[in-house]
Amino acid sequence: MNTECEMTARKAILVCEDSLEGIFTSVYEGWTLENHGEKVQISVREPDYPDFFTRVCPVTSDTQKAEKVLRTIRDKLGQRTYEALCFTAVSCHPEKGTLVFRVLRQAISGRRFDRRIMDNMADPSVNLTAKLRIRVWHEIHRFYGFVRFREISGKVLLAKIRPENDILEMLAPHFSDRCPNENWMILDSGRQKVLLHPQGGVCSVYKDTGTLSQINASLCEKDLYEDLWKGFCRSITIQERKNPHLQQQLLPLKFRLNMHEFS
Amino acid sequence: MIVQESMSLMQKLEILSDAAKYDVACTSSGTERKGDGTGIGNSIQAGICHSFAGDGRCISLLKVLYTNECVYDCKYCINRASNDVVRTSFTPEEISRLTIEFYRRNYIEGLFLSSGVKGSPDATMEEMIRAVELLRTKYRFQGYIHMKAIPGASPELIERAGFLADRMSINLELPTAEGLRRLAPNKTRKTILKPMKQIQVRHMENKQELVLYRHAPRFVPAGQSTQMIIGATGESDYQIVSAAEAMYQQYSLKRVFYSAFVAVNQDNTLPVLPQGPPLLREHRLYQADWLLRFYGFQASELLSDAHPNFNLLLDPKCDWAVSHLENFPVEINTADYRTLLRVPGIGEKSASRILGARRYHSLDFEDLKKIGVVLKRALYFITCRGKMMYPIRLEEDYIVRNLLDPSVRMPVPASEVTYRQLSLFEDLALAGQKGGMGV
Repeated sequence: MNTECEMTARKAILVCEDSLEGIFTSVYEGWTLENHGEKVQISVREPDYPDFFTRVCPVTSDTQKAEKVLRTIRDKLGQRTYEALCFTAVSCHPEKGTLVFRVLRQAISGRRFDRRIMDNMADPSVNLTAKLRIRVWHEIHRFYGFVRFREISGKVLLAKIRPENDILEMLAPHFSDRCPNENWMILDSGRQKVLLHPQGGVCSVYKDTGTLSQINASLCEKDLYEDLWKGFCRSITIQERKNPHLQQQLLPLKFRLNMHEFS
Repeated sequence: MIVQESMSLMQKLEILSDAAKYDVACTSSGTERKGDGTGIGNSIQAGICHSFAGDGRCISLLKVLYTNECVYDCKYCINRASNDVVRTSFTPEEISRLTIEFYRRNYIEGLFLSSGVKGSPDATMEEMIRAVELLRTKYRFQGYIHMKAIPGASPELIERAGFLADRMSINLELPTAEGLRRLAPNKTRKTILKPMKQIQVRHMENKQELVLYRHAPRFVPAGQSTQMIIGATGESDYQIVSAAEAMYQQYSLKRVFYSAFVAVNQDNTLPVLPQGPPLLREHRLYQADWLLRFYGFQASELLSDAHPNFNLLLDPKCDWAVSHLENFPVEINTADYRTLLRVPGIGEKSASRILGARRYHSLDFEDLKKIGVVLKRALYFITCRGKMMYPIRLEEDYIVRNLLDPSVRMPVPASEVTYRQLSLFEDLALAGQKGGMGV
């Protein structure tokens, strides 16, 4: 922490990197500040117009601190709360950092740990966290189905997605278990990063531009099975029951951009 | 019969998926299985939808027939023996290759394999098993497989298929034996129910085996399902729901599917449906099906001989609630889970959320809204801390009128003097019985 942050003020905004690590490091730092009577907010970007009485403290991500917080949450508050808070932290909600912090302050007071905190749905922070958890989980679950791989020159499977929340890493366990003996990559085109799985290996995330431009070029290749798939989607539809409204409700247009059957 | 020998994979896929589309089940749920690292695939409990077809139905499995050649002549079926359509068959290698290639690209969750009866039921079943065996052994495929059992196939083949598939199904086709005799002359209740019983018994035994030996092979881990055609013969909703209930209770089925009859054939035994398939009726049956499976209702509570069909305007739960007002209102802060489940507008999720949230403090209507209760429907049937949301009369006509009127969001508080529409049939007692609705 910077030394100038040590002076007393009533409100502090901790600004951190937009990642699980960043947010949970801020929770760690914020905890002591709030214990000293300050009102803490956690933000993933610089506030545009901070109040006169608010001080803005940048926080540098620290793996050890973040892991300490995450371990406490999982051990003391249970898997359910852990999952809810992690999903909230990767969501696209601007207040997500503060939200995670508020829920934790409620769940932990002194030596008391409330494992059932997520049941307190009438509380606004808990309620919003629960909503975000569902939203993010739904998006992950949808991408389990909607990711479309394209085979590039017979050895690599390539997919492009554009999720609303930062869920790329959360797709890794599912797809690694599913296709362990394939080389596959999933590209998050909005955040410009790629999840890479080598045959029989472990997933890793890359952000360098060289890899990305190479991937973008190979995405234009044609895959023979796409036509078969398109034909299948056409012939499986019962014309007498045609219902584009329902189709769109279940499969919103934003997902279709990268799905071959709609191109 | 036109049987074309040489045909491209594309043409075959189009013909055989087109022929399979009237099968409703496309679920990939019920099995949780991690990949073992040697091949490809896994399966998750909730199932995954990979796409949605133009009719709004989910595409989760590669749904195809093994062959559309068929010796049976079921009146409603596009592939009946007397129809003049192009016939073709896959080979086991083609099916397994197609499944794997689709699966690798994450198009599908697995395979749904059904078939016309080519030669004899046993011969057909044998071919289907060969395709699935190839998939499981050569490709080490651990994804989801749903297999149809062909009515009349021998028990040994059913047993073999059961150890390869995740789910098996045998279509009940029609809810009454009489209907089956009329529209599917080659099938009988006996040939349908016998394999169903066999799968149920074997599944139970397998559960015991799994307790003893955790790694014993699993027999139909996702259970079995069946399907009924709605609106092809004249049976009532009560008969259909009772048949479904019997299926759940006596054959421990996982799901019963309902398929609105689509007239693909011209036949004097089939009804003509100028308004298209009875989709709303199908929807009501699915709603009732959920009430049977998750909400603790019984078929005889929802319908009776005197009231044999669902009200198309109201969902079955509202319909039940307005005619059983003696059970209401329910106090949200004290009622147990089962009672909460019976309130319209409260589902499984919101009922358990209510139980969780009221541990913290007693709940009000504002809290219920946040929890996700549909107050528009629930408010007539509940109290919070002893008070209703609005002064409401617990009166069937009044509630039905408000439930049906989309313009009235919340009811106008009832005053002492009330007015209502004079209804010729009800008020002058011209009708034999009191109608369910006041509109």
